This record gives sequence, structure tokens and C-alpha cells, in this order.
Amino acid sequence: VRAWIFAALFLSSPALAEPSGEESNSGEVSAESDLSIESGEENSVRRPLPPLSEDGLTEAGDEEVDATPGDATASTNGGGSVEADAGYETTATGPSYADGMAGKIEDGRRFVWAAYGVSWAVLILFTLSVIRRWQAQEKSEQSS
Amino acid sequence: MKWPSLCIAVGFALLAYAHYVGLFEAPSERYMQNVGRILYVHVPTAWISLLCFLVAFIAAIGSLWTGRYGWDALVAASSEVGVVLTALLLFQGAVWAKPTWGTWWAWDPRLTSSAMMFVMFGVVLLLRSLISDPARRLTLSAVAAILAFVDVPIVYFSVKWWNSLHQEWSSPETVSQTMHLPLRMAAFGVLFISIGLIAVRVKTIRAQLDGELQEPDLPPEAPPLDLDAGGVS
Repeated sequence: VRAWIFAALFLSSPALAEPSGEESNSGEVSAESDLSIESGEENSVRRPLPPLSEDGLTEAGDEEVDATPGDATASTNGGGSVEADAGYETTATGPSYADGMAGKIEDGRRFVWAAYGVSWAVLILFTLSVIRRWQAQEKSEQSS
Repeated sequence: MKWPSLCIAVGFALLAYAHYVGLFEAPSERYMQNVGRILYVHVPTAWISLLCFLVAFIAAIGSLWTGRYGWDALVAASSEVGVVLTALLLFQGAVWAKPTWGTWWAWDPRLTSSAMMFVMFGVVLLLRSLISDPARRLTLSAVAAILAFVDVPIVYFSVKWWNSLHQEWSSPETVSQTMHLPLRMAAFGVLFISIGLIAVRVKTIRAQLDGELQEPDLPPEAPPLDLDAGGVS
């Protein structure tokens, strides 16, 4: 009986769940890649992707890819992403990542507006507070 | 007050233009997509907050060395602006981390040391508000600012020293050229705003200090105790 209980617990263990960050990112990060071009000059140069490795971490090679030279997409070397390479972006029609790999972040505008909005609000309010404190100090000096 | 006001106005103009470019003209980041645009506000805030604390550290050494209240006012002003920028920095980082890492906060070395920096310089400001004696306040807040500054190199090097979730240092070579303009413009914008705000705060604090030092009601030293009368004479 103990063996059966152990086996049941082991099989239901979250450690056996698919190793990915998708669960925590649900809503913001899509595993399906809709790799659309937002800006930049398109051309018909096609660049094959590397074949899928055994560990499933490299991109699938069975998809149609358009390459856009130049700085069509900005990239950084961090934030969990990879380092910038030639400076092109891809358009794919099928899934471009193996199962369990997060793709591009979609629908992040609300986070951007929140960051910019709060930053501007805080900077403006703090500036007004500094100026008002200076004016109050000047008034108290004049009155005395 | 003319040049600090001009400095603040120029800073806001630069920041507005940089954010316009960052929001509407710069292409989205390859993997982070639109969320990558948060970097145009987050990274300059980080740079300038560290710079403010460096100024506070230098001013703290100056105030301990010379005992002049001008340095003391600079410690207070730059710490205050730095704390506000660090609060913004932590907020922006959390907003960026949620869609990117899947969590608002992680006890990562960079994040934790940044939070500590915020708390430690907050303590400097708290100390200043609790101590009424200007000479004592100068000494204690300078010592506190120097101690708090120990955390600043830890924040900066944390991504190198430890296995951090936070990205490593970026350089112009590792960042796409389209990101250079909005990043630099925003950095100059926050820098000008901070210089202007620090200058105004220094003048205000200096005026307050002058008032405190000239206050006739304050005795030069504590009154002696008259034990026979059972209280202060």
C-alpha cells in the first residue's frame, strides 16, 4: 500500500510537470510564436534555422522564415533573451520553439503604459513638491 | 533659481522626446516585444539614481572633512532625489519583470541589493528628520550616507559577482543601434531633471539650516540641572 501511495504521489508531483515558465507567464507570454515584422525593410532573403537539437532547446527547422536585414528589431543581451546577432527579425508561419519554450511576449503595452505613466506622475509630483517647498521657504524668510 | 528651473525644463523636454521615440518610433525588442520599451525609462533611472548616491557619498566625505553645511545640504538633497529615483526604479523593474520573468519580484542579488540601497538611503533621510541639532545631524547623516554607499558598488557589480536573473551590463556594442538614441536622450533628461532638483533642494535646505543656526531661542548648550529645585533651572 505504501508503494502505491508513493507511486501516486510521485506521479502527481509538480516536478514531473512540463518544465517551462509558461504557467507563471500565462496571459503575457505566448509559447506560440507569432513572429510578425513591425517595422523595417523586408526582402525575400531566406535563412534556414538550425535543426532541432536533442534537448529541444534550439528552434525548429521546419518553418518558413523571412529575414530582414538591418535594424528592423532592436535587441538587447539580457532579460532572459539571447544576445543580439545580425540585426534581422524573422517571420514564421508555424511554431518556432519547441514545447516548453517561451516565445515572444505579447500584449505588453499595458505594462509599458503603467511604467511610463507612473514614472511621469512621480517625477512631476516630486518636482512640484520640491518647488513648493522652496517657495514656502522663501515666503517664511520674507515674513521673518 | 533661474538655472535650476531651466535645467528641469530642459530635462523634461529631453525626457518627453526620448519617451516619444521609445514608445512610438523605436522598433520593439526582438523577444520582449513592447515590454522592452520599459528599458528606455528603467535603465536611465538606474544610472542616474546611482549617480545621485555617488554625489551623496562625495558630499558626505566633504561634510565630514570640512564641517561645512553646504556639503550637508548636498548630502540631503542628492539622497532625497536618489531615493525617489530608486523607488521608481524598483517599480519599473517589477512592472518589467512580471511579463518577462513571470513574477513581480525575485530575491535576485541585483534586485535585493537595489532594495537595500533604497532602504539604507531612506534611513539617511529618516535620521536627518529625527535629529534637531544641525552639527550632530551633519555628522550622523554623513556617516550613514557613507555606510549606505557601500551597497552601491554591490548593486553595480551584483550581476557579475553572482549568478543573477537580472541581465548583465549592456554596452553600445551589445545593444541595437536603434535603442541608443532614446536611451541616451532619456538618460540626459533624467540627469538634467536631477541636477535641477538637487540644486533647488540644496538652496532650500541651506536656507533652513541658516534659519536653524541663527535661531535665538536655541541655547548654545544644554542648560545645567538645578538639583535643589528638583528640575531644570
